[in-house]
Amino acid sequence: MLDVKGGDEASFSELLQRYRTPVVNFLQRMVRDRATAEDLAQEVFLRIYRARKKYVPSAKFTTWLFRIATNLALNSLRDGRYHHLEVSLDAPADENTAPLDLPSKGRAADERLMDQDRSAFIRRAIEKLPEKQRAAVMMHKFQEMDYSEISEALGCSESALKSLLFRAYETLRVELAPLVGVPAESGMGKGAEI
Amino acid sequence: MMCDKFSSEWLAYIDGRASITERERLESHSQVCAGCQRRALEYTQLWRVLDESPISEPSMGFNARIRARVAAEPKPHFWDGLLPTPRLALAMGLLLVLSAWFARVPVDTTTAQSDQDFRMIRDLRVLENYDVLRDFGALSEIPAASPAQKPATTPPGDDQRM
Repeated sequence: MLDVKGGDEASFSELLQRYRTPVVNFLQRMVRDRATAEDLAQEVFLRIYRARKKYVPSAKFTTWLFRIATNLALNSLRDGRYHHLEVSLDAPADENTAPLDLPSKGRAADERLMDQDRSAFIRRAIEKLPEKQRAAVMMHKFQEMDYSEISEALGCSESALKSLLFRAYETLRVELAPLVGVPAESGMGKGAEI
Repeated sequence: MMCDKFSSEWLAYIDGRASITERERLESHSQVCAGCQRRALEYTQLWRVLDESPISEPSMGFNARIRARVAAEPKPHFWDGLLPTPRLALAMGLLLVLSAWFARVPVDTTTAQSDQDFRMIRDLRVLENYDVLRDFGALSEIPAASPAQKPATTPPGDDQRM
């Protein structure tokens, strides 16, 4: 990022290449819509480009990146433009969000379908989480960010974040009980949000 | 049932962020607590299940669109760095307006002038007895001075002493 700040255009391309997939996936989980997620991801990188001269490396770049992404996603959700995109467990999986790991030719069609169903089930369980819990899980589980980084990106204390994550994983444990292999109990933090 | 005391600590254990001390404490606890042992297994399994979550790549034209938008951004000029920030510009403007306003307000110099005159008069030794002399009634009865009458103005007491 410091190279980008210095005006190195190639470094910006490198930055884009490195972070575009995590950012698009994060935003897709947040706004539950592929096209919107891509638009917002474009906005994230454009904001980074515009603010490159003012960048101060006081925090990790990923913290800054995901703070921008989180704010944009939450604002987009609060605008109310995507209310029709509420998740339904009966709805078919979005074709655009098919997993990348393409099945080998040798696998049976029913196995591939089962894998797709399983992936869609997990994806929908994550997308059903409340906004902040969803953002916290995405950064914690899929970006492997530290508690301090996530709490800074979400604007909450570390203890509040741990509580948020605990409730989110409890909800996921109950929702994904068929895959986790234990019978579902009453969720300790189901539907709860800070 | 999971122990409330350890409920939130299992998360750090599963994601590998727990310290060695915390790990040892949780492991020794799970040896004697069936509920926590079960929950630890569930979280481990959940962790593996979440790894199966699909990852989507951005569309083919993503980078091209970003580059086009970046190219459309106005290029920075060399004087951009010289321009003050809006806050600084506002502060400077206010300072300028206040300076101009103070410069236009007329200063009341009469008080300062009378103070200066008083100090000068007070310092003159000749006028030390000015108040006594001003109220000395006998002086007002003396006719206009002439060289011939001058000895008559001498106080009577002085003649007796001589």
